[in-house]
Amino acid sequence: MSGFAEVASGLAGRSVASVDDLSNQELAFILAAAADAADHRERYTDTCRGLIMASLFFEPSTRTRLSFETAMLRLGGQLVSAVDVGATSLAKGETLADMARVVGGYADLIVMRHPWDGAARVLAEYAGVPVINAGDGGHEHPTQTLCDLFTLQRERGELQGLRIALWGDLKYGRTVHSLAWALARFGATIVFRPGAGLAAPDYVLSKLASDYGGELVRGDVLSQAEGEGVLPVDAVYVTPRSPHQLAMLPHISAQVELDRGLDALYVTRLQKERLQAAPGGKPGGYPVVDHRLLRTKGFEKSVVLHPLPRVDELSLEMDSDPRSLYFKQAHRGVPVRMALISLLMGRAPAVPQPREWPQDDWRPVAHQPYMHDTGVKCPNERCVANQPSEQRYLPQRFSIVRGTPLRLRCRYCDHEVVAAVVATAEGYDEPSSRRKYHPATSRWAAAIREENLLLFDSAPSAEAQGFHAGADA
Amino acid sequence: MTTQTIVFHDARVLDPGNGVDRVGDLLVRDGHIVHADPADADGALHIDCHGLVLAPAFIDLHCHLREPGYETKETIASGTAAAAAGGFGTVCCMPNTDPAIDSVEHLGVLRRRLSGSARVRVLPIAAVTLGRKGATTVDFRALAGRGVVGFSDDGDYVGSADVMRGALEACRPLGLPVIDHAQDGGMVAGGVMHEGEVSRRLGLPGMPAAAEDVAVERDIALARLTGGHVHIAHITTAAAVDMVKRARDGGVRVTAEGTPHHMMLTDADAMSRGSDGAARFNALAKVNPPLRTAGDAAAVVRGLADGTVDAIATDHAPHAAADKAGSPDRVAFGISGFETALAVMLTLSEQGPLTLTQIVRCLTAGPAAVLGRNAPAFGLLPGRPAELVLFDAETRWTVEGAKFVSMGKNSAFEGRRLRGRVLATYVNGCCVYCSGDLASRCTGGALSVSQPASSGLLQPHPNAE
Repeated sequence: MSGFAEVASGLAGRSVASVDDLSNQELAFILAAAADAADHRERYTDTCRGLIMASLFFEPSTRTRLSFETAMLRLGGQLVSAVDVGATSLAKGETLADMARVVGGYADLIVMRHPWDGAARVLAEYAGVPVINAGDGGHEHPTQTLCDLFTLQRERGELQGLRIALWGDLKYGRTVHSLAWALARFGATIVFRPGAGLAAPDYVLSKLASDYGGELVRGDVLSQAEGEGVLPVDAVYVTPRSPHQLAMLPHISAQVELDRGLDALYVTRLQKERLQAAPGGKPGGYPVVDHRLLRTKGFEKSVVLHPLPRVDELSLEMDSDPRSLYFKQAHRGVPVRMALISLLMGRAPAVPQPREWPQDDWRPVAHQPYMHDTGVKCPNERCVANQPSEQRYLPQRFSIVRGTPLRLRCRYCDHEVVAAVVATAEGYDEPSSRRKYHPATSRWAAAIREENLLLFDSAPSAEAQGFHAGADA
Repeated sequence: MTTQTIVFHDARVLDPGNGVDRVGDLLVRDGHIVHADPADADGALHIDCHGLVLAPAFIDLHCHLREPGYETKETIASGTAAAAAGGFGTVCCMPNTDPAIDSVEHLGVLRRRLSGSARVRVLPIAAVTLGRKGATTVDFRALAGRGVVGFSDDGDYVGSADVMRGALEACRPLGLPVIDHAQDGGMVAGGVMHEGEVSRRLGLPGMPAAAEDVAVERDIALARLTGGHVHIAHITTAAAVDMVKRARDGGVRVTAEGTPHHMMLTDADAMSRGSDGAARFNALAKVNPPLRTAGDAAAVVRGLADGTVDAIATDHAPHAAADKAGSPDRVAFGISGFETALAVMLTLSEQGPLTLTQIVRCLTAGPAAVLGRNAPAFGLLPGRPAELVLFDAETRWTVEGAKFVSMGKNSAFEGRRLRGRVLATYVNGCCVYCSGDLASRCTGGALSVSQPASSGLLQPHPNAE
């Protein structure tokens, strides 16, 4: 484990494109600094004097942008901003890399919200100054997650072993993606309770199952009858550190968790702007949180969080309930962002060590990089690597995720491609008739050395690149 | 993959890249590090690691495996076995083979051989120019798509600044470094050793420190111009370390590696005294770039300690005995380095300012950061495949090149007492090296070496079936 003070110097100059860019100790450190900034704001005043933050918002945002800008002004720094620039710069076809290099020359820190998944990762690679992701498409929103963790930690006393239900739009709600991954690292048990047709995307659950050491059980939310005293849930994630007999059906697992009581409900609004003309049409069956729900068994002690703005999913009567934390949560955005900015700028004052300090500096499992170009494309059409302007320079990049099935994970947006067939990278000098491909489920997937392993999303694409069916294909 | 369950007891578990430094147990099951209570490990192999260090397997950015073309000096099998014995789980091999790795076809030749016989993970580096002649650049994009991790004409400087500029521009969007053998070719032509007091006393043609300084300065300027990533291989001069530090502070994407021999040895070690008392050239210490002055060596060590120099690289350059014999100008450049790298660094650390943590960082997280997106995943954390090295940081031993696993017995440290020995190495869940010294610490079985997944050892071959 690193010394407490060393963590601060390790954060200086870094970018935060994903919540997984931060280790558990780094997350804990940022939360400790946020507590310090909330309680002793004067210690942070003017720590960033002379620095400029560029806020680039390619999508409308009020809350996030204002909270970032307030944080920077409280730190004594200054701002340049380009707000709602979607229509101008994007339309001109300027690449993110060019914009990163230009703005990186103006400012000491860039905060960006962008409609493409993985855009912040690309910006961070090219800017030369720290970049903070303020929301990239439907992918992640790591600073909102910091605010959520901060609120949970302050209200509950600790983060470890939390039992939480994620509620509502789990498909487009990027805040819940970052939050689920972060909570899993602190040993949380997570119940997924989506609205109809708004279940958490496969890639979010797949990463949860493969990278954080816990177990995931999935079910079909629609097959479960509502109103029979059973909470209709879609999936349950159970941490490895609180051993517990996982039932085969998620609603039974959820019931087990409910009987033990949920610590928190995390509610999100329907992201209407991201809702494509969806199959099935109307977004019906959106679960509402009100007094009635919070009186039912298992919810008596649940605090309620919401990243705001809300629509109808959170009843107004909840505002006076002491368990409602969403306005506190919103106000805490400023100290959290003050702490993060001052740490990334290397300007934070000394922070007192918190009571809850993770002994192991845990990080999610890292996967081996996939270094070959076999024509595999990220399946996510909103991925930054699939945008015409970016494709001119940005290669598709993946990691190899071992397991069943064998798959490639996009390094920008975390979406996954299941490998259909495999081959070996040896023998580029040989005639193509000698190059064979095999099913990804065959023993060859394990037998071929990882650095030589070629993966294809289909047999025809392997053939298009000069490989022929092996005897088992 | 090893199915054996192994419990490493009471080791110092040190993984600076992941913020791990604790004394305790580590459990490996089915080739993976697991979160479990060692008391539950029934039928496991127990290794008493009291006083030993457990770190992620080392990553070497710079070595010569000699295949294809120079199998009398080293083969992939012997070279990677030596790497495993030195604690390395991943090595990057230089393309100065015959043929040079300058095309997809030549890369295929290398890959086929690697797949059959490499004991550790080998990441190929391709040449910058065709035939390493410094004139026409290779097809960077095609090679990057086939999994090379960098480009280098190592052994020779890319003489044309324009060619180097083009290479940096082409590699920038690929996210790959251009690795620079930074030494002006004209200035060092015919040189045998560092130009200075010792070369004058021996009457040998010298290679001036300035040849490296001008080369580093040029390539920093080109990196600044293009935004590309230049990696300075085997940095040796105090001035060059200073330039890298300033350039990096100014935002230029420049990284650097230092070798154990350039840090411990000086040009005085290139001179030995015969039984008659006469000074003569020590051919084992002939290396390119040459061993410099004590001041330069200290500057590289300081660079490592303050983070200017990112990585420790071996520049493992094995040669047959015949290549290292004869007149000073005919002797081949190079030192066989895998099996002494860790011990040299640990011995150096006795005099400061380097710490064990810094050494391990510069053998793991440091080189991983240089490789960037192509870096192998590493870390002594639950859920990951076991990829680790177990070493004794205290015991002293005497270097005898003749006992090396490598075919290259040419060690410049011959006869020296060094501190620290590797006891076991794991790559991707498989034990690829274990020392006989470990047997007395084992209970419940013995550690056995297994080959990592390798299509070449399985019959039939994936391309034959």
